[in-house]
Amino acid sequence: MIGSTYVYTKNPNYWNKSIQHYDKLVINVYQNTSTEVNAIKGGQVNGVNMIDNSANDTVKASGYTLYPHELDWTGLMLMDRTGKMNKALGNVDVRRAINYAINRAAMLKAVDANNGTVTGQIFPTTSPAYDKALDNAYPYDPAKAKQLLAQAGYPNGFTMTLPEINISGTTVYDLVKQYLGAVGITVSYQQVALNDAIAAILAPKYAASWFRLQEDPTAWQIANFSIDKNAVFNPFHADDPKVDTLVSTIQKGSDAQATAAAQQLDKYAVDQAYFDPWYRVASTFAADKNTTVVQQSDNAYPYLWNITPKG
Amino acid sequence: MLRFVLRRLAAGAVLVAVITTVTFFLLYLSGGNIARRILGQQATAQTVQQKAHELGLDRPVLTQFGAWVSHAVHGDLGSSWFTGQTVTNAITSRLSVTLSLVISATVITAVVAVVLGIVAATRRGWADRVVQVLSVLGFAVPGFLVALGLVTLFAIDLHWFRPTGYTALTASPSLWLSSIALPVIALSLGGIAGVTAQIRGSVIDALRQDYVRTLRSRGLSEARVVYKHGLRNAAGPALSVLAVQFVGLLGGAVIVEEVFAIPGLGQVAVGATGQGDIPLVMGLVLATALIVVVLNLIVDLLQGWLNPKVRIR
Repeated sequence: MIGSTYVYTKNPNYWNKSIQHYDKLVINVYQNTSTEVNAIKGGQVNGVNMIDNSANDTVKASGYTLYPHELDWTGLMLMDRTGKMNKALGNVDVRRAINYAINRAAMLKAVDANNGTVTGQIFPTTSPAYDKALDNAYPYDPAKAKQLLAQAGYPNGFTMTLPEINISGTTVYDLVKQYLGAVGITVSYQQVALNDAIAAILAPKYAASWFRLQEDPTAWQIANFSIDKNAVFNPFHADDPKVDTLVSTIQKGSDAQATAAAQQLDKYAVDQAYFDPWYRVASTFAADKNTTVVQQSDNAYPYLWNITPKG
Repeated sequence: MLRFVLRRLAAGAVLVAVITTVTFFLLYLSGGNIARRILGQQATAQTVQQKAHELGLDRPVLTQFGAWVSHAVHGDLGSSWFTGQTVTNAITSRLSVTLSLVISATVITAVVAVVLGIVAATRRGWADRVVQVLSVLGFAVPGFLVALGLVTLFAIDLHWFRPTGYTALTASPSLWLSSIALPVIALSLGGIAGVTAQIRGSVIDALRQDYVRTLRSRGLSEARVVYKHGLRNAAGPALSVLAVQFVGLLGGAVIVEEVFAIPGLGQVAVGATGQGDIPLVMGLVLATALIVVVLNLIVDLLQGWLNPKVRIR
C-alpha cells in the first residue's frame, strides 16, 4: 500500500542468487519514533532505520543490535557569505564569531544524546581532505565571539532570522537562540513546514539555517553540493576566486594535486566560516538477534545484500 | 418510502456537488503557482510551464472544473501528482481499513453506551455517579493518549495484541482482530462517553412518561418496560449522536492510525493536504461526502423505524 507498506518477492531469475537472502521483503513506513519503537518492542521488524537517536537505549534494551553510521554533519549553514540579505553575515569575523559562540559538545549531548562526533568541518573522516585539527578550529569561547563581533563593527550584536523546521524537536532552536543571544546575536524564527523547508532555504528566503547535510565521499561532490559558487547549498551564489581555483584543481588536477587542493579547500572553508558545523550525527540502523547487518559508507541504509539472516 | 429515499438521494447529490465545487475552487484559487509548488523553487520557468501544461493547470479554472466533473462522473478521479497512483485506487485500498476501524468502533460504542446508559438511568445512585464520572473521563482523556497506553500495556508488555500494522479480515480474521482491537478501543472511548450521556438522559426522560407507568401497572416486567419500550423511545437522539461520531471518526482516526501504523484514509488525507496533492484531496472530499450522504439516509430510515411518528407517509 503506497506510503505504508511495500511487499517484494524474490526474483527467481535474478543473475546473482548468492546475494538474495530472503524470499519476501516487507517494508513498513513508520511516521514517528514512537510507532517505530513499538514495532521493535513487539518484535515485528528484523531491521529498522531509526528516525532519530532518542530511543536507542530502549531499542538496545529490547535485544536489538545498533549499527551507528555517521553520514551527515549538523550545524548552521551561513549561506549569505556576501551579506546580500543579512549584511553582518557578509563579514568573515561575524561568521567566525558564530562558530565560537556555540558549544558543540553540549549541542551533541542535548540534541542527539551524544550519538555522533564533534566536528568543525564538513568533510568526512574518510575523505583525504579531512584534517582532525580543524575539528577544534573554533573551540567554544563566547568572549572571543564577542570580541570578533566588536571587531567586525557589531559590538551590540545584530539580528538574524532563521527558519524553524520541525524535523526533530525544538531543542536545537532553543539552544541556538540561547548561545547566540549570549554573545549579542538576536535570533528570531519563522516556522517552515518540512515539505517546504528545502525550497525555502534554496530560494533563498533565509541568510542562514540549521540543517543536517550529507558529508559526501569525494571533495568534488562536497564542492559542488555546498561550497562552489554554483553549489546547491550556496543559494546566494557567493563567488570566491580562491575557491574557484581549488575546485578547478580538484576537478582537473592529478590525484596528488586534487588531494592537496581538497585539503586546502577544507581549511579555507573552515577559515572563512562558510558553515558552523557542530558534529557528525550518527544515524542508527537496528537489527534483531536473527539478523546480521554490515553498514557501508556513504549510504544511510545498508544495502539489501548486506542484511542477512543469522545462521 | 421509495419517494422519500429518492428525494433524500437527490438532496444528497446536490450536497455532494456543492461541497466538491466549493472545495475545488478553494484549492485551485488558493493562490500561488501550483506547478511551482510541486517542482520547488529551483525549477526553471520553462519546466514549471511544462508541468502546468502536463497537469492542465494552464487552462481556465472553469474548464479544469468541467474536466474534473466530466471525468469524475465516469469514475475517473485522476492520479496523485506525487505518487502517480490513481486516486480511486489510493482511496479504495485504504477505505476498507478505515471503515474496519470506524464501523467496529461505532458498534462497540453503541453496545457499551447502551449498557452503561441504561444502568445509569435505571439504577441511579452510585451506579449513575460512576457512569457519569467515566463519561467525563472519556471526554477528557485524548484518544491518542489512550492509544499509547493501550499499546504499551496490552501489546508490548502483555503481548496480547499486535502493536502496529494491519491485516485485512479476508487475509486472516484472527490477525485482523488482533490488529484492530486496540485502535478500536482507543477510538471508542470518546464516543462511548458522549452516547452514554445521551442515552442516560433520554432513558430517564422516557421512564418518567405516563405510558411507562401504565405499562408497569399492566404487569409488564421491568426489563421489558426498559428495553422494549423505554430504550426504543430514547434511542432516537442517541442514534443522531452516533451518526455524528461516525463521521468524526472518518477523519479523526488519523492520530490513532499513526500510533498503530495503520494505513487508513486519515494518513493519506494528512499527507495529500500537506503536499497539496489536489486530485487526491478532491477524491477524499468526494468520498467522504458520499459516505456522509449515505449515512444520513440510513440514520433517517432507522429513526423512522424507531419512531413511527417521524415516518414519512
